[in-house]
Amino acid sequence: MSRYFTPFQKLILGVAGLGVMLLILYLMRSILTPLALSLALTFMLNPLVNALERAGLPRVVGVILALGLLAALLGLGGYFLFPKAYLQILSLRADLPVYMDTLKQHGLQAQKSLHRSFPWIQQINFVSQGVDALHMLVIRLFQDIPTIISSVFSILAIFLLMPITTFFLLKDGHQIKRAFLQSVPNRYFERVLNVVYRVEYQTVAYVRGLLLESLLVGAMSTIGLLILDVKYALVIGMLAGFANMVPYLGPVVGAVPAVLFTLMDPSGSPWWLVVLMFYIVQIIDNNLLQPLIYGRSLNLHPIMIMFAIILGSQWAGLWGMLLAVPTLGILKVFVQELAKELRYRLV
Amino acid sequence: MNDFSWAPWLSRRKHPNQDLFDLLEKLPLFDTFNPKELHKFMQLIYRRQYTSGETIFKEREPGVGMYIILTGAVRIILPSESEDIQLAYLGPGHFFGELALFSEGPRSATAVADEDTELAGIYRPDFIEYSQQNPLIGNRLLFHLANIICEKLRRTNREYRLIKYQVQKQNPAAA
Repeated sequence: MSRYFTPFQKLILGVAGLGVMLLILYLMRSILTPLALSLALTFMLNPLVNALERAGLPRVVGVILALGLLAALLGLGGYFLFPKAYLQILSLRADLPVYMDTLKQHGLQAQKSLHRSFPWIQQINFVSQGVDALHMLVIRLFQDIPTIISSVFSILAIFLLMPITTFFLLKDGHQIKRAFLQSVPNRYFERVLNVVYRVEYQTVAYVRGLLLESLLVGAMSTIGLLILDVKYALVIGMLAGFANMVPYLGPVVGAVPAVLFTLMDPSGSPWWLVVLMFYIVQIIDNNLLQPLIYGRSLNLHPIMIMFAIILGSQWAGLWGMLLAVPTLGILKVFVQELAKELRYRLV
Repeated sequence: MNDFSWAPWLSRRKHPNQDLFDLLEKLPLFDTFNPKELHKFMQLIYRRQYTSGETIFKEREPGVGMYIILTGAVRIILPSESEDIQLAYLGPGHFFGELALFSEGPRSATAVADEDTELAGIYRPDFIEYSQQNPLIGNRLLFHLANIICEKLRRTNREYRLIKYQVQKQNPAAA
C-alpha cells in the first residue's frame, strides 16, 4: 500500500474506513443484540463441538447435536421454571405497593429514632425521598422488562436469526476468521494474527466464564433462598445470577432485594441468615468458581475494572456495564502489543 | 446420453491443497505424519504470496510463526548500514523463523523474498492450540523441531569455536 498512497492519504483512508465501520454498526443496531447473544452461545458451545469433532464426528453433526442439547435444556428449564417464575413476577407486581408501604413504615420508624438521637439531621427526610426513588426505580424496571425482553428476544430473533447465526458461527467461525486474516496485507499479517488470537482467547474465556459463573451463582442463590423459605426465591435467585455478571456491584445488587423481602416478611427466616447465605455463595464463587473458570484469562486490576464499569454504565447503561470488562481486556492486549514492539525496537 | 459418465461422481475429488500436501509429505519435518494427520495439520497453515524483494519479517519485530518455502527463494540477512550480511539463501522445502514457534522474543534476522515466493506459515497461537488438542502429534513435531534447533546450535557453536580459534591465531594478544 505504501507504494500507492502517501502517509496523509493513508490516514484519510483509515479514518474513512473507521467511519464506514461505525456507520455499518449503526445501521445494524437492531440485530446487534441477537448477534451478541449468538456470539456468546457460540463461545459456550464451541468446546463441545470441538470435542465431538475430535471424537470423529463431522463438524456439522457436532453443531446440530450441541444446538439440539441446548434446545432440550432450555426447553426443560423453560417448562419447569418459566411458569413458576412468571407467577412469582405477577404476584410480586401485585404485592409491590404493600411492600413499599411496609418499607416506608420501617424506614420512618428508623428515621424517628435517628432524629431523636441526632437532632441536627432533622431537616433531611431521607426515608420518603429514598422510598420514592426506589418505588420509581422498581416501577420503571417492571415497565421496562417487557420492552427489554421484546428488544432482546423478538420473535424473529428467537426463531430465526439467533439459531441460524449460532449454527453458522459454530460451523464456519474458524473459516470466517481465516478468511479475514488471509485478507490482511503481508506487512501487518503477523501482528494482526497475534492480536486477533490474544483478543479472542481473552474474550472467549471471559464470556464463557461469566455465563457459567452467573448460572452457577444463580442456581446456588435460588437453592439457598428456597431452603431459607424466602418469598419469590426463584425470581430473586435469577436476578442474583444475572446481576453477578457485573463484577463487584452485581453481588450486592443481587442480595439487597432478598434482604429487604425477609425484613418485611416476619414469618420467614431472619434477614441475617439470608445475608450469611449470600456471603457463603460469594465465598464459593470467589475462591472456588472464579479460579477454576477464569484462570488467568484477564488478570486486570480491580481498580481498573471498577473504573471501566462506571464509565461503561455512563456511556451505554446495562450493556456498557456488561461489556466494560471485555473491552478493557481488549485495550490491554493492544497496549501490551504496542509496548512489546517498542521494547524490541529499543533493545 | 452416451456422453454421460459416473466418473466425476465416483472419482475422489482432488484436495484443494494437494500441491501443499505433496510438498509437505516429502519434508523430513513431517516424515512421522500419516496422510490423515498431515491433512489435519494443514488446516493450521496460511499460504502467503510475496513479490520479489518484499520483506517477510524484519529483525527485532515480534515473531509469531515459522515459514516453509513452497515456491521461490528467500534471503535471510542481517541488515547493516554499509552492506547487508547474508546468513542463508533458502529454496523450496526449506523453512525458517522456527524460533518464534517456541518463544515470544524478537526476530533475530530479516527475511526477504528473492523472487516471487509462496510460503506456508505456521503460527504460534494455532500451533499451541493444535498441540493441546493433539498432544501425540504435537509432541512429535515439537521434538523434531527441537532436534533441528539443537543441530543448528551445534553448528553455530562449531563455527563460533573456529572463528575464535582463527582470531586467537591471528592475534595471540587478544587471548
